[in-house]
Amino acid sequence: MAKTLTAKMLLARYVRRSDRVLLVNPPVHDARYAWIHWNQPLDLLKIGPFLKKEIGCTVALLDFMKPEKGGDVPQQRLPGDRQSRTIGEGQFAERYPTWRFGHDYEEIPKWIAAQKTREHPTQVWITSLCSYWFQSIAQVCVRLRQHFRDVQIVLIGNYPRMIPDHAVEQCPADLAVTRPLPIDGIPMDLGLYGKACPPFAAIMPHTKCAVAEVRAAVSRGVTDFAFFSEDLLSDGGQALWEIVRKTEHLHRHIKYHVICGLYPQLITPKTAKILAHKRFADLHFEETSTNYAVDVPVYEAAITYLREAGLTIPSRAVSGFVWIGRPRETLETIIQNMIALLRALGTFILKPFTPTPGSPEHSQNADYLARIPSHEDWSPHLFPFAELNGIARADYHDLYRLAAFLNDKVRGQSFDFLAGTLGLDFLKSSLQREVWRIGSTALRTTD
Amino acid sequence: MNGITLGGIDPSIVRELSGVYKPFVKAFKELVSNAYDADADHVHVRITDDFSSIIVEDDGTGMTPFEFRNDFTRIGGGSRRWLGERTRKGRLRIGSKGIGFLALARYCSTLEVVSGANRPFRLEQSLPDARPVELDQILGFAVPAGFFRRFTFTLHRSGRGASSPVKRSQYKVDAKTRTLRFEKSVSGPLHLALSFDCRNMGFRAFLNFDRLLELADKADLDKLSDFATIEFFQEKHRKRRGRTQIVAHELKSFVKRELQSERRKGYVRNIASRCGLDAFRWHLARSTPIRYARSTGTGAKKALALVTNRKELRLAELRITHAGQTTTLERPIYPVEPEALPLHDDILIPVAINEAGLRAAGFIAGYESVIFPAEYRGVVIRVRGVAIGDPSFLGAEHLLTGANKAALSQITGEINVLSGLDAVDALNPGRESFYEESEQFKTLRRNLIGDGETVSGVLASAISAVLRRSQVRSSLKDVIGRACLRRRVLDDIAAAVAELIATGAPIGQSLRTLTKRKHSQTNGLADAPDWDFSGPPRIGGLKVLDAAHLAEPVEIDYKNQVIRLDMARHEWDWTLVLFNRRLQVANKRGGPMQPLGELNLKEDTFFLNWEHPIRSQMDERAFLRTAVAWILAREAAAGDADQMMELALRLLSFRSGVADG
Repeated sequence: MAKTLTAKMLLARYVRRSDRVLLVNPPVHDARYAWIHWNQPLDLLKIGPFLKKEIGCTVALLDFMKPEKGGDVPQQRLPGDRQSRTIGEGQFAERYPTWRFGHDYEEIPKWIAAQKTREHPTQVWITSLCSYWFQSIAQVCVRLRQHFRDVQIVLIGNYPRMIPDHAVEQCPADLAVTRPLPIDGIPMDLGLYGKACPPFAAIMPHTKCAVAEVRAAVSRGVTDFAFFSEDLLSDGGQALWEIVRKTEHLHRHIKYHVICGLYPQLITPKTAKILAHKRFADLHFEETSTNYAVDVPVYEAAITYLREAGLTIPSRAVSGFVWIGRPRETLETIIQNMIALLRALGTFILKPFTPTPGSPEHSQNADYLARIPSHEDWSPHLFPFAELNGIARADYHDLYRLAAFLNDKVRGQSFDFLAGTLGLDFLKSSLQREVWRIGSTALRTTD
Repeated sequence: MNGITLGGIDPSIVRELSGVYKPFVKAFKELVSNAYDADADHVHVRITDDFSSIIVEDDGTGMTPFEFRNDFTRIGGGSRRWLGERTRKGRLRIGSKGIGFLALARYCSTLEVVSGANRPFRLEQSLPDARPVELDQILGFAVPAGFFRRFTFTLHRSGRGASSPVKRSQYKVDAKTRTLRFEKSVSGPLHLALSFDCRNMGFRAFLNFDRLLELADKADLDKLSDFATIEFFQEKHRKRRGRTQIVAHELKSFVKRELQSERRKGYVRNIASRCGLDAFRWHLARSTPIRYARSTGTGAKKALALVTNRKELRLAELRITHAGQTTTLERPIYPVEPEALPLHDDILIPVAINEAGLRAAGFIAGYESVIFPAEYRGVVIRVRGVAIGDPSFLGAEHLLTGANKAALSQITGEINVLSGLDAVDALNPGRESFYEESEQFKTLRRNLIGDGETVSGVLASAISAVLRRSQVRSSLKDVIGRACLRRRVLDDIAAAVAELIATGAPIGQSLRTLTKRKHSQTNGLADAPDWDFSGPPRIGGLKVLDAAHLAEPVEIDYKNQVIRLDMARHEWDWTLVLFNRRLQVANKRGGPMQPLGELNLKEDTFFLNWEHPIRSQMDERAFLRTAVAWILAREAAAGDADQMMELALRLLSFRSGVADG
């Protein structure tokens, strides 16, 4: 049985200068992975240099999620009877394909064969982004044991932090880190990838090393950067502006991608000016809502500032997230939100919801969530709150189809392809009641 | 321009002889062979950008216009007969039958020849009487009036008694009518000695092949002279060495298409699939007397050493230019190809023949896989540096069947005839094949493939070596393949156990409980004799030795007759990872009465009985999977039959990868 400990304890008791540490970003087993191209183990890229510098041990990286030469991350249906799973029962039942996102487990022997030395790692640290992705972590653990006789396997990241009991009991690791090290301020080391650099670099903009990280990445040929932050403009955009100002001259093809942490209520003339900078390739707004209904005036104000700053909206580069799958939501609200953001921004992206273990949504629905057979069914793509909401999973899928339809800015006379679903009823009702004013907006059909 | 009379050609032969050289490159190589025979060191081939013409320039000894008429365009004569077997530089002449000038007749409309040489032309002829002599007739073409001063005539009265010179005043040379006239006082018979000073002059001749073939069709003997013209020109300072330029004008459309053709799309391996120009260069490099391409590979170097003859005379350089790109050709052989398979000593067979006047040296090499480009398959035989026909197996392919015949696609060879087999009657016209009645050819064939109904000789040795390697590889593939499959089974079960435990389902919890146990019940299977899975002691006659940490899973040492198997590799490991525990699988000969298997959790050992009756119902992999799955299920279920069934089925059906096994 694995032991739980903090990162500090781990370093103090288990890591030596003589250790050879292999850092692993495991593949993912899930029904869907929409943001696969933005998967980068930023924690490992910071832990690596930390270990080298502070402990002096040898560090290597094995990233299962690294894209292939063509830029795509490999994915494959799981074989045999694991290739699909049925979630829910009765009218809520839905059969989902199960995919392995990332390279297959043969990467381990390939990595071994590619090493110049025959010395195996003494420790393997496996990171995790989502707690419900534990299956692939368990598979990596067992395969590591097949190849490395005496290796010590350490789990880090959100999985052991959020559900340590599960990690200890149900994952064949040795140690589970429940409290991470404060390493945000350590510059990441893309050199862990060797000569082949990833297509982008993840940057936490509010760290002191952000500018240095961008500079180092550009020197390695990386020109795309994605900002990872809970609240990007919490400091009024100062950190963001520092980064843009100090790095825009480094390369003429530098592009910044804002894929999370951007709230429309924090858009001011000043922050709008920053975001309108030519280096920003795309902006995705987090949902701002009250009682699950989007605050349209907030979005409108943000858009006004951004247009005044010179940004063209609507534009494919600007979109807003719309949550789906939240507890006690209704389809009508979701569709209203979709239409509202479509009108305001021109494009929206559905963002499926799952509660973070330990969060208020978790504790408020603990009894309901406890009835879900396996924690891997907490994946947002499986809509864990479908039964609670009384919304069939098929209806949630229809929302994806509707989103694609609407995002193409084609508005036909009928929505027959949605026939027979609750989604259609609500949509028709919304159209009839004209819950939005249809003027010269993005809803106009473009031919 | 004046016409040239090329005498003695039967029109019906013209078309036949011109068809001897197929395809275009084989015709074209004759021009390079001519340059070689002219002692050229450097030959430069230029193809116009639009592929309409091809030009060959060489720095050989050149030709006088008389040599052009009498040697270059003389059918049936051949320079060897007139000039001897060797050139001034001692090269053995390639051209022999005197049909080379017709080689390109089918491939272009006109052949232009520009040359010159500082050699005098001499002619002696007996004149029966003192009638006027038409110089055009004896020379074969009209020498322009302006060049008549280069003539020197010496006449003697011949016949009974001592000869006496004819005085210069007794004859007159009329440059206008190109006639030699005698005074009435002169009577025959006479002996004419004529010389022409060719210094500082050149000639340009045109052979109109379209016209020639047209005339040949019409079989019009009288007009055969109309297809060729010649003109003379002064050159101020001719260098000591001559220079010849031959231009094939208006290449036929099919030739242009062939040269312009693009590389076939997709993954291609053969020369024929390359672009037309590349294929042309390759074939030309294979069929002209140039240096062998070099290589740094060990095997290739050894092969080259067997064919490289330091005394061999060859062109110093053969270059081809097209669209501004110039390539210097080197003769390619398969071992020096960039993507050639490794060449091993035991399968590189030297050839050294010194028998019945035939001396030949080279090699035959076998490879472990089919040879690509396919054009390298077969044995090339070279006489005087020029390949005779395409690579072949001298008819052995008709005697062989089955695997022996299939092995031919893995064999290549290069044989240089050092002496013998170069007589005029040893080779067919065009030098594309041998006269098989030639005794020396029979000697060559007997050494290479034998002369019975079965193939023997050097080729048989090569085939035998190739087949032996195939057998060894096949056996090893089977041995290692089975080990990999067994390992996959253990990995699958380990992965299945990890997944089931991770889900938290009841059967997973049972497995988890099992992994924590320290005790289990055993019935003595541990005491049974071991079942050895370490691999056979010999494969293909080679002894198998255990090794560790090799660069490859297996090393085959044919020289020392040993195979080294890396037993430290994962596929030979019998560890079963049970969640966070490592169990060692011990294979036993328990006999039919012993249980299928036993799990000893105290010593972390999993015993399997390979003599259990169900083993006979399934293959090795299936038995291993079944035995391990059922033993684990039984132990984990702890008496719950339903759970045991469910667990066993889940373990049996779990697969790690997409491809089963």
